[in-house]
Amino acid sequence: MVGLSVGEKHFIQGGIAQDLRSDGRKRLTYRPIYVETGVIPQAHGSARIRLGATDVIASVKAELGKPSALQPDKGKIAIYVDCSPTAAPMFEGRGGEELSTELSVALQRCLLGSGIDPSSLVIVEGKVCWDLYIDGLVISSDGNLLDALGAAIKAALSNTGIPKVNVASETSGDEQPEVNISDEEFLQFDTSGIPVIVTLTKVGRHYIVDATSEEESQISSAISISINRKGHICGLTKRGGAGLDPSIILDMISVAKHVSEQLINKLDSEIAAAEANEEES
Amino acid sequence: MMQVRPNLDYEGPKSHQHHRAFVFGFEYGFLKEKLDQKEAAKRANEQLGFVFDIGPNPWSKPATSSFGCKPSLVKMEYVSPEGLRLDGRRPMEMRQIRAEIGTVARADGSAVFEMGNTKVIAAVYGPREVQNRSQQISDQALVRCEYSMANFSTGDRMRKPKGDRRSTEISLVIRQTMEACILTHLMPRSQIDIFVQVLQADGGTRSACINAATLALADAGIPMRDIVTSCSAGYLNSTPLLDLNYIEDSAGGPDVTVGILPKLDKVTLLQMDAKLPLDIFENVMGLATEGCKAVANYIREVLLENTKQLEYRRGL
Repeated sequence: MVGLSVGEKHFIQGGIAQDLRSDGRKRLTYRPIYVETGVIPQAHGSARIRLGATDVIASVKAELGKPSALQPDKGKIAIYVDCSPTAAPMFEGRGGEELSTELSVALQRCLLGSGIDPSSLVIVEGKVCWDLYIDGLVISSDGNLLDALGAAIKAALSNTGIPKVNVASETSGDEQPEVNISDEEFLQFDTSGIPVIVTLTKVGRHYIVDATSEEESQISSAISISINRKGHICGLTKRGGAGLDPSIILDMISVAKHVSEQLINKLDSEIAAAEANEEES
Repeated sequence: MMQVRPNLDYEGPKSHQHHRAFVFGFEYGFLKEKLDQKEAAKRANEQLGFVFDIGPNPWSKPATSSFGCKPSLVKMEYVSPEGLRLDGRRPMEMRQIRAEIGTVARADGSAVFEMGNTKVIAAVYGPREVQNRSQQISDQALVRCEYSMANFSTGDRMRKPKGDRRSTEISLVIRQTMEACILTHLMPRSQIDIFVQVLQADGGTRSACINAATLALADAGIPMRDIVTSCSAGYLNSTPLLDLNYIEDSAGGPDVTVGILPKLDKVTLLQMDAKLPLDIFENVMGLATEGCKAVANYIREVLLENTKQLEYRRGL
């Protein structure tokens, strides 16, 4: 991205202070969200989300695996994010690794704790379970990647159909049981409990939601909060170097809760529309 | 059910994907446990309608192969007696192509190219200042390319999206092909970056990447001698086949990839695996070249349509 001049920086900060951002939005308005589901046919579930110029794809793949010895009654879920160099030339080679790791860890923190129940993934306790691999790919980046990825994962999970498994026979000891994967029947996830991530960026004295990359270059600090439908906080990450007064953090959390209600409703309706579209085509 | 016969000329798997011949074609692939191979083979027989047997195979590599049988050893029908291929195409028929320009807003030029189930995004950044001063060329532009595959692009989940040897080789191939057609002497001391990302891989990724890169370069307005188009062709069951998909590609038969400059009628890329007698090779290469010309026609239409849209938006 080309650097910003001092005049441009003042313009952005001034606009935010007056509740009129460079693209005409208010401080707490999201860009229009476009959702497409089922974009990767060979994955069990997938979705593509466009938030302005930010474009991300999430895919969910389930493979049979063995549960870990420490938690034999739970399946395993892993989230990986990859930043494609098509989004920015600096992601070439290993350049995007730092950002990818940061996003993967933040998503794991926000979504894994309360989003999906790992005990629903177990097939035979201690022997066979589903390993869920959630992969995110950033194709085009214009700020607010975390929110977009969180929304994409939510959409991909609601699109996911895990095949029904019949355990063939009872085996004892260390033998691996025979499992037949059914072709026809699928289990859909219940995604109403999955939280959305709202990133609040503090520029000057005000907070904005859904920053573009130009606005993100001006942040003093940002908080990403994942909130579910009931209004419970499922995860929190603070980024940025500037220190924040605790009262400001509490204020930001309440603002995020308010924003998240609209976001959840909007997202759910878009996902439902996308799935309906997918079924028609 | 036919028995597996040993093929003493067999040199080994082409890539780690070779053994997983049907992974992409079927939803869940084959499990690593042997128990399901018979079930999987039964399903393969039902779905594809050919005979496939898995027996104990002493020549398989136990660590890497997911099932014991090498597909190239079995007499499989890639072309049915009626002349239909596995996905219902005729031997000389290409898969459906679709292209879209300008998908990545931040890039100088970008395009999405689909050939059947293979879907590829290309983004071009440039011409811009050279990032690494030591690589700067004083009388030409520096062209760089990176090819990466998404984790979910193949049937089995890939662990390492970039940096493996196949990706490095394909990056090199695409870079050399595009460098030959870009007028680099017009932009000295600058750098053009071509990034190609594979979203879905179903055979012919190399060709799809080159076609996507051409469109992205045209979208970025970078001066070129001609567009470069590419297509692959193979030879299975004594029939030349155009535009191989993943299953046909993994069959172990020859795979000829051709890249041409259509107006100048010159070949810029030619690669082949396995072996072919010379007269059949001419046939197959001719077929791939015809495929390239068909792609070129489509690309020209897409570019024209894009220019009309731009004119319309400018109010002309």
